[in-house]
Amino acid sequence: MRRFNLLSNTPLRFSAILFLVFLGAYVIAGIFAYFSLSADLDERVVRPVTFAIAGFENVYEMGGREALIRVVAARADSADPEDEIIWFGGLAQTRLAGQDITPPAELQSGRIFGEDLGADDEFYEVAVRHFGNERLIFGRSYEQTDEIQETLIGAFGLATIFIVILTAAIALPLVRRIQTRLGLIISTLQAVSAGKLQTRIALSNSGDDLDQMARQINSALDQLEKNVESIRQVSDDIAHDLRTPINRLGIILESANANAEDKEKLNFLLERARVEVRGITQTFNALLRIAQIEAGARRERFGKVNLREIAYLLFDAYQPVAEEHGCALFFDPDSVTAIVILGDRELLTQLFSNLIENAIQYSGSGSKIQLELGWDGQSPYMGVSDDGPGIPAEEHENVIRRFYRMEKSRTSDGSGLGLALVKAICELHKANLVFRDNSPGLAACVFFPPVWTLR
Amino acid sequence: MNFLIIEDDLMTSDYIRNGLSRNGHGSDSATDGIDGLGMALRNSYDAIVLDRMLPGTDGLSILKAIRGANIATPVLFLTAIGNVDDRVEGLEAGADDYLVKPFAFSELSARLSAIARRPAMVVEQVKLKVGDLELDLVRRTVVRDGRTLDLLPKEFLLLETFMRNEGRVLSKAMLLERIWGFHFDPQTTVVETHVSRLRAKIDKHFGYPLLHTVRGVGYSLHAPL
Repeated sequence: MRRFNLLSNTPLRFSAILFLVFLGAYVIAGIFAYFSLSADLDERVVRPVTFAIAGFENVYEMGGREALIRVVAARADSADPEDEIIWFGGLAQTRLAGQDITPPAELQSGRIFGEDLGADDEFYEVAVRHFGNERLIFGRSYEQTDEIQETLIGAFGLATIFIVILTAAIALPLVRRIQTRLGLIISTLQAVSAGKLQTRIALSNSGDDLDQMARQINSALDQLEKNVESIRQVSDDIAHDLRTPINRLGIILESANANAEDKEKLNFLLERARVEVRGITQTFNALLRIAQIEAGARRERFGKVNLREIAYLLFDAYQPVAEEHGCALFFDPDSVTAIVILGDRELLTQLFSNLIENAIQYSGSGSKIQLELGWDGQSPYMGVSDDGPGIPAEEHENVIRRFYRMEKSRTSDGSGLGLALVKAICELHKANLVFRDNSPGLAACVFFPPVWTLR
Repeated sequence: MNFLIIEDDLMTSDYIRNGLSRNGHGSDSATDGIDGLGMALRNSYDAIVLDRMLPGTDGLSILKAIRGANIATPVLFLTAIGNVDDRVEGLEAGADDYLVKPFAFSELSARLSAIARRPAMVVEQVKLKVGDLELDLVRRTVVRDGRTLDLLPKEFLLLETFMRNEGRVLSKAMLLERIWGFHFDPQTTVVETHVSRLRAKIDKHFGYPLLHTVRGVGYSLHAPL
């Protein structure tokens, strides 16, 4: 089960931080805009009041008190009291003209709540102008600007909510998607840790960084699985190939114990035990060597190898052995000039020694074995062919595989790992092992890659 | 001769020491690298058997330390892994030969006597002589009892190797390494075949045999005792 811990969720944390920073900047900008707009709106109320007072002063100067009363009365008739306050009277609340309000005697200019003057319940920008013992009160309502401000705040709030919802609507599925994909990677790796090595991360094919990472992890897992498989194969093979001789050894030792009195028999059994131990050691060494070759570590030791030299060395070593077995080994060192490839001399020697020994052991008495090397286009090859009974063409592929799996189809006194080793050495050299019908007989040929060929 | 065995497995160590003492040789043993190094520096041995895997300091470092101290005592390196890198590292660090575990005492003994100190040859010999058999390295001829023998190049090299190691047992593995450069165990009788051909040429039709088979170990060339 995957725990959904908010703080441990990297994409969610990143989007939350980004969102909060953005929201903070947005709110600060909003507040700034609001205040500068408010100041501008207030100015739109204050200025007409100043102008109007200046106008009334003008009337008073030109026409005196009576003219002012007339103008005030006319203005009061046409003005909407919700919008405008106009009043002229004494210091006490004795009205000479204007609306029916009750301004307190100590009233000063400024922002005044309407009900304090006996007007409507809203704010007014009020100016008080004294003419002798009388005063003129003029005010304009903030109602409209307050409404604009309220609308502004409302709109701002709505926009904020909209942004929050929109961000969440976009970010959460994205976060969830990333979270799902990361979860997929995590659960895959958990499955691998739990031993399911064949598990792979499903790719989204988007080619993005997560996809690339998943691809890399998958290819690392492929390699891991291959290596583990190879180790498993080796341990299976060890078990398979060693169990029988170890079992035999146990029987021999038991029987030696039972025959401890009979010195001659005891010696015979101990000698047999020694032979078994030698066989076990050989098998073990061969298996380890195959595993080591398959791991590819030896490629670091590659050097220049002349195939012709190897062919001659092997011909020289095995020609008498072939004769002992009643066959003839042929090689014409003058048939080809030096062929130099990059490789491991020791392993290549062992490879062809194996092929020659197979031919000597299985082609039968009287057969001719030919060791040859040459060029197949850009690709050098070296092969061993015989005119013995051979192997049916449809079996060629199987032979490598079967021997590779070390199921001995032919009785031999060897470890039976010969062709498995041959195949491993070929793979190390990226060479291609091909069995062909030599009609009659079998031709085993190794083709080397042109890239590792030196001219 | 006196040998030093540096090996942490007591059973293996005792096995080697018992075998050596049966052959009339003395030996000291050390179970860890530091002790072994100290003994190699203090005493003079004819050869040292050194295990690759030791507790604490590994065999390779000990070998380097011994060679670093200008001690030229021949060293036989024992490895349990037997892969090429192991072998090459050992030889590069100054080992004279190597042997892969598990091994038979006869093989160890053959290799030890082949590398152990021998009287320094002042002059590079031109002629090798064992009994009535003579090998001329310059003219590349082999003569026994006055008769010239016709040897193939590999047979000549084989005989030269036997004659230079007169009286010493050479194992099949040693011959495969020295004559053919094979570091693997062939499934066929490569050594046996070549030795028997050589034997047919140098021993057949002569009064007494020089080339002897040492059962379960290898071959040895020597005049009648």
